[in-house]
Amino acid sequence: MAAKAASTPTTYSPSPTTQKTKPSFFKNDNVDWVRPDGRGFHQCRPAFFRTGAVNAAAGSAYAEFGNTKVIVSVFGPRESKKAMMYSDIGRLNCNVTFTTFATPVRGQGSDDKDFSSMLHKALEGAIMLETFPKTTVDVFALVLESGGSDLPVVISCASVALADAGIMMYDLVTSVSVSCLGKNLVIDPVLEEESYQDGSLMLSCMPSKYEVTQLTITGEWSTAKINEGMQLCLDACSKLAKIMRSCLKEAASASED
Amino acid sequence: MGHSNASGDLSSEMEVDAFRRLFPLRFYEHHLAESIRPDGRALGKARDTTIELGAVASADGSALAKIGLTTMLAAIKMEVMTPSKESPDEGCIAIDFHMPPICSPLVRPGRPAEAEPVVSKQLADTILRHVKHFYGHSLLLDYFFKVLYSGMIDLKDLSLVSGKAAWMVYLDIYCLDADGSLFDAALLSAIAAFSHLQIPVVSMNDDGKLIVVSEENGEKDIVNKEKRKLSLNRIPFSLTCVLHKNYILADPTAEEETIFETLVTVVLDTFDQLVYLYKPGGLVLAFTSSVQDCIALTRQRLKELQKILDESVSGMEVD
Amino acid sequence: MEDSAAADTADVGGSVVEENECRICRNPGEEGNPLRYPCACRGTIKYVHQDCLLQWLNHRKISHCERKIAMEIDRIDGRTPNQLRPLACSRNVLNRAHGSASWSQGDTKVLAAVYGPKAGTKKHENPEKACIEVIWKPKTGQTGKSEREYEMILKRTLQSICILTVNPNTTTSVIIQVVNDDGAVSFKDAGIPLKHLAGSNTYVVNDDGAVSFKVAICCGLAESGYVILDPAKLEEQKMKAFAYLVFPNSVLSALPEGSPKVEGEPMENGIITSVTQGAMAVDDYFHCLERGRAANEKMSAFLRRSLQPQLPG
Repeated sequence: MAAKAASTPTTYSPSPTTQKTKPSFFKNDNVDWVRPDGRGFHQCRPAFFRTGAVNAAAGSAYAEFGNTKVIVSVFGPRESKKAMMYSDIGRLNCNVTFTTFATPVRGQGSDDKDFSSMLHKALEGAIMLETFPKTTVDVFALVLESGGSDLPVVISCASVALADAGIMMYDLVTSVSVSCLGKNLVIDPVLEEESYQDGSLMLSCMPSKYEVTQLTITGEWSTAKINEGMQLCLDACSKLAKIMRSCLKEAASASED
Repeated sequence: MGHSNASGDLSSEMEVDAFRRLFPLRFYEHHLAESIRPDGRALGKARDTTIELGAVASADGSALAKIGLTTMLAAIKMEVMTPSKESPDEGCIAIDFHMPPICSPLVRPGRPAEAEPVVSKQLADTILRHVKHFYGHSLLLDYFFKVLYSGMIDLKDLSLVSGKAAWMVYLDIYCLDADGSLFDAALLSAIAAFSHLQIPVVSMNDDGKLIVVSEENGEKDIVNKEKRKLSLNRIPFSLTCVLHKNYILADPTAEEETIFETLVTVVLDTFDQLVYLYKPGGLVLAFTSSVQDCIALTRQRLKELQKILDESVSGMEVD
Repeated sequence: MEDSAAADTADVGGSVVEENECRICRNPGEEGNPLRYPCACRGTIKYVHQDCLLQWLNHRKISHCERKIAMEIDRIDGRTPNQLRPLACSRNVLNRAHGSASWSQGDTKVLAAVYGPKAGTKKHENPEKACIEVIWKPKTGQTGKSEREYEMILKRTLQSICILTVNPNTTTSVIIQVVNDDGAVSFKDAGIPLKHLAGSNTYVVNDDGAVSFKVAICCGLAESGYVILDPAKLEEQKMKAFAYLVFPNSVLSALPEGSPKVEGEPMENGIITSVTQGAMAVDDYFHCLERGRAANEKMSAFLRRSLQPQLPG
C-alpha cells in the first residue's frame, strides 16, 4: 500500500478553501464587519471540557471550542528515559500532534514541534515539579480538528488533564489569544480570522494567582493595542478558569457518588 | 474474589487488586472456572459497542466507534487525482492507521507503535482485498470478481472523468484510547466512516481543475450528479478472540490480551465469506473445533455489529 | 485445462458454438449477451449467461458454483495441485552468525541468521523470559508495512515455539533476508534457524514445519475450495485467496502411546499461526487446513532428515 501511495500522482483538494477567489468577510476600511460565526468582537466561543476522555492515561481531558477539538492525555509521573541525567525535580515532556484531517487541506498541521515547546513553556511554571523527583510527566495532545486558536485550547485542556491526573499545580493554566484585524481586536479567533490577521497575541496565565506564564506576540502591535489585548485575554482567562473548575468539580463529585 | 479457596491460599489474605496485579493468570483462571470475566461479561460476549457518525465536521465522512473503552476515530477526505494509465476508470483508496501517543502509555512520540504498520496493512487487506490482482485480466473476469470477490468498494465508483480525474480517498483512523481488540474497533470505525461518506459535488473549472460546487454557484457542468454515496457491498466485520486452555474469550481487553498471548482474529463479510483469519503464534494451538467456535462467535457478532451500524445510519437520516 | 485457460480465453470469450444454451434460461447465446463458461462444470451445463448467473447467485446468496466438480488444472510448472516445490535446506551458511540456514522452495529462497542470546531485553518486554527480535529484509527496497507485518507474525510464532524461560532477560535476533521471491515466501523458514539454535544453545524447540499454501482462484467463479499448495509467484497473482499456516512438527512417536493428543486431535493438527488474504468460503478454509496438515507431514519429514546429522543421538 505504501508503495502504491507513493507512486500515485499528486492530488489536490477540490474544496473552496484553497481558492483565493472567495471575497474576504473583512475589509480594512470597514469597521462594521461581522465575524464569520456571528460573534461579537470580544466574545469567546462556547467552551466545553470533559475529563477522563482516555482511559489508558493517568489523566485526560477533551476540549471543544466551536470547531476546535482537542484531546490531551497525561501519563506519569513515570520513569524517565534511561539517557536522562539524574534530576531532583521532575521533568515535563510535552508533545502536540495533529490528525491528518484536522486542517481543511489534508496533512497541513505540521508546526507541532513549535506547539510542543510552547505548551511546555506555558505549563512548566504552574506544575510543582519538585513533587515528583527523578520522574517524568508526559503531556500528549492530539488536535482532532483545527478550528482556530488551537494552541490556547491545547494549553487550557492540558491543565485540566493534569488536574485530572492528580499532578500538583499552583493553579490551573488558562490561555486565550486575540487577533488584530485592522483597527479591531477579536478574541478567540477562528481559522479564517487567523489567516487574515495582522498580528496575534496569546496569553497563558494562572488566573487565581494573577500571574502570566507565557505571552507571545507576533505581527504589528502598538503599545496601546498590546495593553488592550492583554486585558482582554486576562478577563477571558478568568472566565475560562471558572468553566474549567466547574468541569473538574463535576467530575470529582461524580466519582465520589 | 469470593471463590478463592481457603486452603492457605495467599489470595484470600491479599487485596483483590494486588492479587490481580501480582498473579494475573491465576486471578483470571479463578474467574474462568466460573465462566465469567472480571468485568462481568460472559466468555463469548463482546463489550458494549457504539458508533457515532459525522464526528469530524471538516471531513467528507467520519465516524467514532467505541468497543468498550477502545475508541477509534476514522475520517475520510476526498481529493482529486489523475488516474494511472493502467486503470483510467478507477480511483484509489489509501488507508492509514495511527496510534498517537495519547492512546496508550506504551506509545511514545517519535517512535511509532509496533502495531501501527501491522494494523494499517491488515485494514488495507480486508477493506481493499486484493483488487490489484485483477488489473489487466479480461473484462468478463474482472466483472465477476468485482461483484463476487472484490473488496467492499468498487474503485470504478471513484472515477470522475475517465482518464482525467478520479477520487483519491484518504482514510485515516486514529486510536484515541487503546484497550484491546484494536483491529476490530478500527475496522468498524472505517466501515462506519465509509457509510457516512458523502461525496462532494464537483464541476470542472476553466483550468481543467475540479472544484466543489457550493450552493450559490450551482448549475454548472456538474461532473458527478449521481454517485454521491459509495455502494458498499460485502461489508466485513471482525471479532478477536483469546484462546486459553479450552476457553475462548471474545473481544479481549488490553489486560486480557497481555495475559493470554494467543489471539485469533476472524473477519467475515455479509455474504458469510471468510475474509481474514489471523492467528499470529501464541502458546495455544488452534484446533479445528476452536477455529470453528471462533467463526461461530464472529457470525453472531457480525449480526450485532450490522444492527448497530444500521441503527446509526438510519439515525443519521432522521436528523 | 479448459478451466485454467478460461482466464486467457475469456478475452475472446463468448464466441461459443451456437447450439449451446444457457443452463438457467435455456436460451442460446445472442449478440450482446453471449454464453460464458466461468466454472468447471462440463457438458451441456457448461454454458451460462452472465446476467442469469448473477441473478441466480444473488437469489441463492452464494458466490460460487454449487456443483463441486473437481477441477483438473495443470500448473505452470507441471506440478499437481498437492505437490510442493522441491525443498532444499542448508545450515551454517554464514560464518559469523551463531546459527544460520538457507531454505529454498523452488525459486523462492530465504537466508536466515540468528544472533544471540545477548544480554538484556527490549523495553516493555518481560525480563523473565527471553526476547526475540525479528528483522525482515525484503529482496529489494525498504522495509514497508508488509515486512513489519511479517516481522510481527514471525516473532509471535517463534515466541510460541521456543522455550523462553531457559534464557531469561536475553534477546535473540533473527534476521531474515529474502534472496529470491518467487511466491509464498512468508514464514517458511521459521523453523530452520531455531532448530539451529537448538543445536548450539541447548534450546529445546518444537521443530516448526512451516507450510504455506493457498486457495486458488478458480477461473471466473470459483469452484469451491480448490486448493493448490505452495504457489509460485506467477500462480500467486491468479489466486483468489491465500492462507499461510504454521503447524507443529509431527512428532515422531518414540513414546509408546504415539503422538500426544489434544481434544481428540493429534498435536500436529493444531495451528500455531494462520494468516489469510482474500475472501473465501469458511469451508474452503477448513479444506485448506486439511491440505496443509498433509503437507506438514512431508515438510517435517524433510526437516528431520536435513537436521539429523546435527542432533546428538
